[in-house]
Amino acid sequence: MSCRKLIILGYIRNMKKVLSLFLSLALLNSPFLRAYDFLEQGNDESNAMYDTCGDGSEDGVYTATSTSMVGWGVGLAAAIALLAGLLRQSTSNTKH
Amino acid sequence: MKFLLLLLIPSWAFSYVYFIPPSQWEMADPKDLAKHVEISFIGKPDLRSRFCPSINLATEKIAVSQEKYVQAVKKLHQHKQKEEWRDLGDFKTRAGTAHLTCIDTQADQNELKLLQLILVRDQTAYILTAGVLKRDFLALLPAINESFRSLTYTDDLLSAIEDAAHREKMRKSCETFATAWKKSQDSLRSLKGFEKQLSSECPDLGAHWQFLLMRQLTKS
Repeated sequence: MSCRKLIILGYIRNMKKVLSLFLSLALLNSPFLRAYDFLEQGNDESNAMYDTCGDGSEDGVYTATSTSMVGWGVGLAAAIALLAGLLRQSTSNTKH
Repeated sequence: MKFLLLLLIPSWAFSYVYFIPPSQWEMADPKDLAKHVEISFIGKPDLRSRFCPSINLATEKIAVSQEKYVQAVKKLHQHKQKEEWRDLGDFKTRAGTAHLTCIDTQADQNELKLLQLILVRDQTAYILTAGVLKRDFLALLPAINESFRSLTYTDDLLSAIEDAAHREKMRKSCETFATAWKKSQDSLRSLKGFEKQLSSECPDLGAHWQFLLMRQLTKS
């Protein structure tokens, strides 16, 4: 075999080693990368849920301060009358 | 007939959360309530400031635990300059162990104290908020304490009536009212009549329970 051929063969063998190393690394890393992305997404979602909590508490505080300032009490009968009005409206809407 | 069957069958699909407001407190106008607030009761106004003590129940659909929700609420209120938020720990109610918090704030030159009770059940947060003037806090605390302890979670509103005979009697009255409601042209009269009956026969259960029962009966 000539020197040139030997050099080329050696180069190819080295490239094969490099390629196989690269492929094995890629195969090893991909599930971890995917798992990491999944965890990151999960964290983002749970943070989003956590960040949107508390509206009920804020509304409770707002109502406690604002209705107390207005000071109107309607009484159960009036509240029921409002309910009756709403219900009558809704039944008349369904009839049409 | 369908409606009567509905009354007999336990309503697994529906769950009710109610509390007993302090005696002689009136229901607030529903139009004044914020989005998540279901019901509010207000007491007699203070003579000097015209501020009325109040208590309201808000609900919020969530996907976190009670502990996480309280942390989220803490995070919300701690950033507000005019508010001082404090964690008062666990508080036992009929519906389970809730979490009690306190907010000191100001509104229209009045120093206010708000007590907020948080209970999380079945992916829903139930928030009971009582607001009083700071100077009236000690006088109203026993009544607010009782209202907080009365927070109840149930699938059947009539199960709140302890006496079996009385409960059966009320069940029949509900059926009669439901039939009259369907037939009657003057629905408001039947509502007021049934309201009077509930107030006289079940005064201990409070106006919130009465309201929920009437809403349940008239919804169908």
